[in-house]
Amino acid sequence: MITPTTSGILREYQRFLSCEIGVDELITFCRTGSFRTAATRSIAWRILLKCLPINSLEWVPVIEQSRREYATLRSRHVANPRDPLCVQDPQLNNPLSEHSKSPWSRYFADGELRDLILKDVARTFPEIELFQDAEVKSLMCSVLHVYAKDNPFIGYKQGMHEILAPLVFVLYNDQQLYQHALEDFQLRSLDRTALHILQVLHDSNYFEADAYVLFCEVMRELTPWYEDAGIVEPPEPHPFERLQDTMITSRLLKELNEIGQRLAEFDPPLYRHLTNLDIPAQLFGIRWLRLLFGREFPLPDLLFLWDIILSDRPISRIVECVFLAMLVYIRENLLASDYGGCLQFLMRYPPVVDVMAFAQLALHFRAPLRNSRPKDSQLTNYSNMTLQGTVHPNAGNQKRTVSQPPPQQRSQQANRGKQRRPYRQEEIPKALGIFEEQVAVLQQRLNERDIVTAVSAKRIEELVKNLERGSLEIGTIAAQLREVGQQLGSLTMDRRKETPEAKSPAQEERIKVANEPVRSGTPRIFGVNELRELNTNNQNFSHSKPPSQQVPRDRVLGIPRF
Amino acid sequence: MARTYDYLFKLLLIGDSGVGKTCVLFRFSDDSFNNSFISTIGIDFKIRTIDLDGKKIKLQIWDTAGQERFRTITTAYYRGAMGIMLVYDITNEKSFENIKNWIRNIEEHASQDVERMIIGNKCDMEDRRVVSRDRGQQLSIEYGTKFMETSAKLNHNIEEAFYTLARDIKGKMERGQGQTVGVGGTTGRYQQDSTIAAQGNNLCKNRHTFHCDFIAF
Ligand SMILES: Nc1nc2c(ncn2[C@@H]2O[C@H](COP(=O)(O)OP(=O)(O)OP(=O)(O)O)[C@@H](O)[C@H]2O)c(=O)[nH]1
Ligand SMILES: [Mg+2]
Repeated sequence: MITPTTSGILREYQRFLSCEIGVDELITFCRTGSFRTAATRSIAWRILLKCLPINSLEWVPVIEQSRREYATLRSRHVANPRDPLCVQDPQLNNPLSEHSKSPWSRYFADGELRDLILKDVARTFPEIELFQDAEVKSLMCSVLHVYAKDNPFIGYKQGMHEILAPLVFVLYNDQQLYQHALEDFQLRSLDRTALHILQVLHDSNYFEADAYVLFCEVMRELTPWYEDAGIVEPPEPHPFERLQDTMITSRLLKELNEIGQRLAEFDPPLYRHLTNLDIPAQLFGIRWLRLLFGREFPLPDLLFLWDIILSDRPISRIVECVFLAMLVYIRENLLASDYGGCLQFLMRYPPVVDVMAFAQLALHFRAPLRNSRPKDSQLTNYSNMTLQGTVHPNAGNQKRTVSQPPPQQRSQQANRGKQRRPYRQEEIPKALGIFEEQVAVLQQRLNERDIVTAVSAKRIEELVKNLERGSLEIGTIAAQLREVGQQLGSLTMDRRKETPEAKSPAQEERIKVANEPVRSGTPRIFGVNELRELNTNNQNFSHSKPPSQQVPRDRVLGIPRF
Repeated sequence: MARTYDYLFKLLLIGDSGVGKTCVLFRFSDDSFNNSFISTIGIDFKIRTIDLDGKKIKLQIWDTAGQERFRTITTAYYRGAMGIMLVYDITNEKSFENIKNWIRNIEEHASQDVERMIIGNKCDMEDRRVVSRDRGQQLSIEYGTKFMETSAKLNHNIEEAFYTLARDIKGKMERGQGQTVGVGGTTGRYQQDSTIAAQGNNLCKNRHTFHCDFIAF
């Protein structure tokens, strides 16, 4: 659970209660990550979603009204004959009654809907304890059921449960923190009015109603993406029809199509790469949009992304930007991958290391002049490696990034660490920092290799085409092939080869150089013991000057593309 | 660069929500099972390369959400599929009855000679069985498909099911009957892959190899 500091929580409540915060400040707080450790995210979201006005004095009547409304809806739609809210007339309320007003007949009719919802609720965030709780499950079922019945045109669609889940989590979290602060006498200095407001707001008896109200507001934004598609078949099926050519009538597919077009503007090479591989946004983006990225980020990061998304309504613009940022964030991996590899990255999105920097990139796309683009070094993507050793459920057992086993050499250098004594407590943060940098360096090298191989393969392919067509002179082709050869050779050679002679060594030479382990052009990879020595011998060593920055980023990016 | 596969088959898993499609796929691709899977939203995708009679076959397996039937992605998703597994849950009558609807769906959207196979999953739950083996068998005879009962949980018949389906597709191809596979239209180069492989003559085989080496590296 996210725990704010003692004095922090009081201060947080005061800020809201005294109406110090205007909507603009609220938005700034959201974007700068202030709610990442806050106890008031649920309040912020309720205000952003217009479930609550900004003026705290109006909260109690507003919230009580919405809870009453929910109670009415619930008793109308949830025909649970055992629910005390239900008609208690024994003539009507018995399983054998065939009266159409009998709660039982409705109960049986709703069976299919209930099953469908339950199937999904049972499969919600299996790694988070809260969602294994029977009461929470039943709460979620009710909310989704009432929503489906009250919105018959949309009903229940798979995925809605994972829109509801983060809302439930946030409400629950804040209730708990409030309760804790209260019992811990942290709120003593608040006056009675203030305490009453907080009490009503966090009343766990209305957990379900409050979740419903929030859920409806979020769904207001998302319904277009849950609507059924009326796909219009083209009059004659075209033999080479692709997913993106299908006549699009659903707003979800339209949206995804537009996102594809924006990618073409923002990052033409990446767009071309994905288009050539025939991977349109429609293929992997359905889940991204319907779940508002819920499976692509671990929950704490997701909630922060939602802070940003919910503070920018209507949300479709910012969602588009997050979507683009996700693609750009892993662009090097994508560019270096084949069809299968790309789909693995897109359908099992690799962990984002620094979600703040990532959000910065999305905000930059949203308003380039107002928000600067984060530095590439901040965005260094460790790809599938996670330092905590935990993997998002969606990442599964995914180790393969390119759908082909990686070459042997990759694992060799990594295993150089010898036995060492365990780290002392105070050494851990520093060592971790260094390790992170090392991982970044390794990852960058791998990326670099992948890119060079990918580019070379494409280039060879181009040349072969030219050869077949006879559209280029043999001499030119030979020269270009030589260049490709050099580029490939440079993967295994000392990369600081300034002299022209070094650029075209004889084949045997090349092999010889390739076998030499020392690569002076890139930062060293330290063994574990060396790292420790570095730690103790050089107190000034700090990872604020990370070795990874010595790898000229532009060398990675500067490789010609086609 | 070494050739990574001889054939590429696109397979689909379809069936009602909750019958265990994702679990079946996960068992096959990652050899594991846990009770707390998450429901599929949109499309998911896994790859596994298998050896079959000395040939390397790359299986590209697509998994959809059960509720996605007749919806968003539908038709384009079926195109180019060479094998389809229709999955029901032996403890769920409705999912079995719906197989007929799914088959109708295939007939509308997938290519005619796509290999089909009916799977009755969760056969470890004998005590809760409501669809007998016989009824499953009967249905498959009616539609002229193969049939198997599986358990993703106990890893029963999962490998067999995928291998059988792959072998049937391969056989069809090598007998040269598979020429129209994918002609119903498919996603770009997989179309080419499958038709080229299907034709099976030497020239085309070489082109196929070339194709794999340089594009699908
Ligand atoms: N006992 C048993 N349970 C299974 C088996 N396969 C799947 N399940 C359970 O069935 C539930 C649904 O499985 P999924 O694989 O998620 O179902 P699905 O067909 O992919 O469902 P959608 O993604 O909604 O279309 C899971 O909770 C599994 O635990 C099996 O072989 N035996
Ligand atoms: Mg599934």
